[in-house]
Amino acid sequence: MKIDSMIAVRSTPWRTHPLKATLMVATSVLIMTTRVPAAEITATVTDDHGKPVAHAVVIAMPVDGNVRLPTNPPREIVDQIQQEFTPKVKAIVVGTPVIFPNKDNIRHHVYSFSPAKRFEVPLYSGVPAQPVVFDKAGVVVLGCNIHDWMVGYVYVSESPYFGKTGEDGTVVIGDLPPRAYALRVWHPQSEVAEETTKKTVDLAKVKQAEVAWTLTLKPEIKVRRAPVAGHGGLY
Amino acid sequence: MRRLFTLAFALVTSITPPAHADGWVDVDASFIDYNNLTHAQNAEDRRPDRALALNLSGGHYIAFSGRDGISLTLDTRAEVYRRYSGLDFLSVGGTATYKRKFGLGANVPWILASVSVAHDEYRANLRDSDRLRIGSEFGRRFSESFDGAIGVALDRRYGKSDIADLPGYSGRVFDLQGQSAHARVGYAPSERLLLTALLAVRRGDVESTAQQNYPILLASDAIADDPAFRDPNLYAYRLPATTYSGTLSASWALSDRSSINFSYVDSRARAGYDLAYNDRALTLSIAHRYP
Repeated sequence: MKIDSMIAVRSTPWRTHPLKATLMVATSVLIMTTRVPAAEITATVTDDHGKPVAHAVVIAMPVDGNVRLPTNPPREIVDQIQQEFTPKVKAIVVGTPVIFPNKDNIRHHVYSFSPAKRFEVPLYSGVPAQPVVFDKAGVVVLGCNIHDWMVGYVYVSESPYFGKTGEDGTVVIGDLPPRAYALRVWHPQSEVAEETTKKTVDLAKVKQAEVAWTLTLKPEIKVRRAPVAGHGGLY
Repeated sequence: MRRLFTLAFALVTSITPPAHADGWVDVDASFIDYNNLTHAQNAEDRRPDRALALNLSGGHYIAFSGRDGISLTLDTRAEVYRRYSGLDFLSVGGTATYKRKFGLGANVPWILASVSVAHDEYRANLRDSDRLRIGSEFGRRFSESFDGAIGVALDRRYGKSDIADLPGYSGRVFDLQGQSAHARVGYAPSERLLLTALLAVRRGDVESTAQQNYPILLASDAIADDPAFRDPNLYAYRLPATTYSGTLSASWALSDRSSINFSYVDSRARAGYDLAYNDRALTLSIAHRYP
């Protein structure tokens, strides 16, 4: 539960009546411990054929722009398993450190040259000593310089309120302070830019909102991993 | 031949990649339709046939850095013909390929150099030989769906048989060498389909099996009786030629580890004395990679 309330602390000595002071303290404690009714958004993403779209990131940005980012977000993990990034799409908030454990018995060389984060974890096995801190919002495309077919995405959100759709194409973003939000959706194969998917919901009026998007997805074309039959010597 | 096959199979399947090396075993089985196995100019000398081929290749890739590394493979190929069993062969060899990327990412240019050696053992001994191929390729990927490369190669085939049939002519018909250059483009219109086109030109020795005729005697520097086609009138000739070949192939990925492939190869060899032959091979194959 996030409480957006401020308590003024007086630096001058108490001059009010002791009973009044006791009442003020009690009221403050009551405010701090009372649960502000939270709101939630259920977002559903489908494609043109009505099929659920997994790995879509839904972002809820307060319309007033007033967000309090976590000062020390927990470390997140993007694994490399069987020469693929797992998960394929990772959504994090700005400032999150991400570690890239290599769970294969071969070495990987993870990199990105996306504007939101340029980095390189040179050829390594096991768990890198240092995480990569994603300190700028945007989409970071991951690659491995040894295995060109490996592609992953880190979506770095400027809002702490976001979620990623599951296989059913749905995500619930809960514990939202009651206020108006601008919602967006991002998917690596989406034909349209994230900004054009904007929708607004006002959670000050309703505590639950359902939002749906239909995305047109581009075919996923990545560097081929499957083998190609060799050609015999024919000269 | 059976012992050689057993040895090759044991070698490939026993490859144990060292720690931190990419290891794999590729298997592909093919059905091939050849329209001119004799590489003959005249229609009466052409011998078409169909063959089944099995490739078994095991190897591993050792990365020196994130930008370069070497792959070592052990390659075996067996081919069995429907009519001309003398052409049945087993080839066992190895390839070392060094590849370097000029930068970071899938779309940076790269260069590779490779050396291949192989021993081919045929049911009819005339074609038994050792082969050496040294090649280099330069290429780059332009997008996820489009890539291209150009390359050059030197090939040398050391024929084992040296039974001369005509005075003044060598019997080493399958002692061949040549130089080639090629250009290749690949286009993936979808996640599963990969289309490839390759154009190559090769200058060097070729072998042609035909009945005796004056132009081929003039053009050749080696002649031998060729028993593979069971026709006493056919002789194998070695002659210098320029070969132009084009390959179109389509590969459909069944999964990340397997694919079904079709290729069409058209080769046109041009030699002196107005000698020329055209070959065509159609191949349908299934490829699988372990793990």
